[in-house]
Amino acid sequence: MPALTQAYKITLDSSQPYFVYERLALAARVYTVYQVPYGYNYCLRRIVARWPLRNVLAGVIRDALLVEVVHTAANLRRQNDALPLTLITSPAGESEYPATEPSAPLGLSASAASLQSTKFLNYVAVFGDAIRLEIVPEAGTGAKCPEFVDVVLMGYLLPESSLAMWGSAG
Amino acid sequence: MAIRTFANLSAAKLFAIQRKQYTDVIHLSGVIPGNSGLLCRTAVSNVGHFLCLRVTGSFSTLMEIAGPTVIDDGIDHLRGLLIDGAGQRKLFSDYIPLSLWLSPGRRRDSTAANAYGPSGAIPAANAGGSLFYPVEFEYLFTANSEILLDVRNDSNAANRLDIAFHGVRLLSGVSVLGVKGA
Repeated sequence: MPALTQAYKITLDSSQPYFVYERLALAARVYTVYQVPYGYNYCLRRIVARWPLRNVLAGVIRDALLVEVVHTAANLRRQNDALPLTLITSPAGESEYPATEPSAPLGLSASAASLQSTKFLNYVAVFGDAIRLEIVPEAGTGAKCPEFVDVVLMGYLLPESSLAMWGSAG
Repeated sequence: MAIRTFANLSAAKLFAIQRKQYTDVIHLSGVIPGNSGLLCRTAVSNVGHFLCLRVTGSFSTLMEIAGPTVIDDGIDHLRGLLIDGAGQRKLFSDYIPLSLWLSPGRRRDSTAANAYGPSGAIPAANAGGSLFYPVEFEYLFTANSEILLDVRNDSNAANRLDIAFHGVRLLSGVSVLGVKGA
């Protein structure tokens, strides 16, 4: 198992970009786990998220969401505390429901908001690890939680070169 | 001391590099029928391998309502799964809504009834997005392969997409004949 301090260089030898998408239904705290495929390390470059901001019929709702990224195998937290999602990915981000919908069923297509800026994270999950993403609605008086959040993890699958499957002698 | 810019540029060296590689853009487009899907594809060609560095794209957001009238509802109806045709390697885990990975993203479609003004009770469509954030996408597509995008459209009207892959063409010495030093 390579040292966590080993610097990973994105090479063209069997590495590939890999985007992971999921729509998460929110109630309170919600988890999603991305298991790094066998034989690879995963370099998470950025997170792109979108959640419904405003519902015309139900009124203006949606408070900011907090996100925390944890590497499960080492139980390694990448932040000292849950961060507002808007500090990692821009809330374009925030999008409206169609005016005719009183709520947002999970199958609803959101409005096509523009892709804005995101923060490069460069979190590397090593072979055998998983990335757990925890999203929590921000608490507050009268706060209303979005029904769902769309999350895309943008990163690269990097072959774990020490494995025999990649031609290593072990 | 006089500062001479570009003093160390050598035409011979630059041409030697340019004979083997140059910036290139590959375009992929498609019109996806309503409530259907389409496997959009574009060829990498046999000129050489293509090192993709960035991706940009735009798409329409049309919906057909009673009339029948086609309006721009601004809703993200398209989602795509990017595949490397060489080996059918999936580059996405799932069909991802296009607005989550393409910039400028939604563009206003001039064929919509509400493109530049209200259509009955339907308000005018919002302006489309501007190019802001070419998404980093470093990947080497091999010569003679195809870039595939499997697109699904949940609208009952056809929607169009255009994607550009920006990168560097690496000329293949086998396919480029008569290039000295290739």
